Amino acid sequence: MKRILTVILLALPLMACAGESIFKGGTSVLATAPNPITRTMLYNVENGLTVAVASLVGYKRLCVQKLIDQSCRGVIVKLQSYTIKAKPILISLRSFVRNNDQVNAITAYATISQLLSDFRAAAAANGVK
Amino acid sequence: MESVLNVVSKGVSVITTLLQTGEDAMPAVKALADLVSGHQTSDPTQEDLDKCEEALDALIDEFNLPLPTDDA
Repeated sequence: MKRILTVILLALPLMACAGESIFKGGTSVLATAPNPITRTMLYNVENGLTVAVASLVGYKRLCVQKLIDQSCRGVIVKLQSYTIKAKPILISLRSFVRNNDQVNAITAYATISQLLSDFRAAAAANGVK
Repeated sequence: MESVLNVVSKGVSVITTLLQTGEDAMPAVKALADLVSGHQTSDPTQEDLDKCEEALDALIDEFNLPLPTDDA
């Protein structure tokens, strides 16, 4: 299980490591977003999120199949609290970008960034460094 | 370029583990491929974005489903 969680945290830097914003071609979603946020930028962010969430889904499937220690259930419930909050904000971000509503797009992006930061802290608090 | 390689390196680690555990790695593979090509080509079409979002939403929705309860 620790290996799986390690992989998840490997995926998280796709979103959250220190460095240049992914909007600028870097790897960090937490870095300050430039203005404006373009469709290409949104596309790159969502592809990064897809890789990360795919690893979460893999972890959950192993947990449901009882192939890993069942303490995974508690971990998943904790992490779901963040992904459940993130989904509607992500949908709003898409709409703002499509409508070129940059003020709200930047706000939505900042909210998701904070959620991801909290998510990382929660994942690390479950024993994976 | 260096940042793209960094992303690829981490993405490959994720995909490798998914494969080793028998999980479907195709969404991650495609996303990583698109991420890399996205740094080199022109803007994605709306269709590209729609497909990407559809795949991401399906993954998020699956992860967000409540865990099944254990049998007594």
